[in-house]
Amino acid sequence: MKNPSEDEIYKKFAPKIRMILSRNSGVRKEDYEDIVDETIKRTIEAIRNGTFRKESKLGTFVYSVCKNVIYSYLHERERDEKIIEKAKLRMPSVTLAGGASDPIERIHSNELKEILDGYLDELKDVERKVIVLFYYSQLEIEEIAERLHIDNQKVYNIKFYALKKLRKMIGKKNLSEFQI
Amino acid sequence: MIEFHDNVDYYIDGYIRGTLSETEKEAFEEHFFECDECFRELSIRGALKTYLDTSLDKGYLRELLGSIGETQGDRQEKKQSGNIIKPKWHRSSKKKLLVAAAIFVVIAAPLIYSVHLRIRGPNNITNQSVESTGYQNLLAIAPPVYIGSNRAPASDNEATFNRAMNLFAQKKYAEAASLLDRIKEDKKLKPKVDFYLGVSYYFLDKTDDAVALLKTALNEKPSEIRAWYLAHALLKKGKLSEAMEMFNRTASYKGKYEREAQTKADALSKLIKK
Repeated sequence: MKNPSEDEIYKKFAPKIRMILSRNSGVRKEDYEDIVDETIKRTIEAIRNGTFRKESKLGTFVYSVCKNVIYSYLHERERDEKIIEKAKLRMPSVTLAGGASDPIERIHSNELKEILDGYLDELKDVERKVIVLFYYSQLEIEEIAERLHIDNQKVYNIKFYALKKLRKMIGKKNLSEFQI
Repeated sequence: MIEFHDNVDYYIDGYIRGTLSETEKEAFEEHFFECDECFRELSIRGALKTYLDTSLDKGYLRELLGSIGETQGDRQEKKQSGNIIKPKWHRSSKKKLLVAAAIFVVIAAPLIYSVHLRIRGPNNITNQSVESTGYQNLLAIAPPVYIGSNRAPASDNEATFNRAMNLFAQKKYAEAASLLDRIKEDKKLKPKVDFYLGVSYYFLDKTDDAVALLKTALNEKPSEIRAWYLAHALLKKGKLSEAMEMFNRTASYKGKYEREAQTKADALSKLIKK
């Protein structure tokens, strides 16, 4: 089997790596792309020098590389912070390349907002309530059922069909382009 | 072995809502690195949650939640950030939405764009020849901001271009240039690639290459911003007369650089006469 190219690996795994990073509060947003690049670089090297054996799954391998890169990053960051604290130094202010002010992110976010704004318009009142209570208020299905005076199964069904509508609206759009 | 597909809702919603244990979280992460189907569903629901957490006006949500006996205390306080927008189901009419959209397009978008393109302090440029002629202050220029649409990148080249733009936004010009160089033959992308490659070379002090590419970029798609960067590249190369002409051309567009370009053209004119 042919080895995947660097672009193929990047396309497939960069969004997944970003997803993990977005769930790791210790990683600064401006460092996301460095971690993505380092993970892809190490993966490519491992494929080239045969460290990655094809009988293993590539996704599992990339995941373990990614976890190692994040671990090293957090370790280095902790060490740097200790040095800074010790030397009473101050870090210079940094423009957050991947932060909210980033124009590319703003464009993606605006596209996403358009879709989701339209999506909420599409929903029936009860569907909107279930979605908001579940994803925003973080209530459990049973609690939502109690609030809306309906049974648990009904809440499951409403949520199921509401998410189905969202999937339909997003269609085949490439979600990796959205900063989530 | 955990069968994730039998418990999709548990794992995907749990991951998004942060209710999985550390072991479950890691097991699921490993799974979605292999399973594109689960990752897509995770991305969709993750986008929805981020939208609800950050984009909707809290007052309107409170109103909705209040109508069903929900209180703010029922959920963890979330950091609210980004632009607050009102969902259509709370707007009084479609008209208001259209007016707001029109206002954004006409006023806010150019304003945001111009803020990003504002002139900043001098960049890392070599001033050997510049200092002697006394026009180093005229070289102060900010990198342009990529505002193209990334709605549906279809090709690998477009994906590469987007990666280059991410690096460019982080001021990693060498890495951005290396990627852009790989896709410079793509006919569809060429006008954009030539321009951003030219600007990258400008900041990398590869002035000759910058001038050549920015000239091509300006011919391909004449615009104020392209003239503006070409003028700076010519100035950096020491081509004062050509730079002056190009600043004048920039000013002739009567756009956002008009005043700045005219000032620089006048300063160069005085310098040349000396």
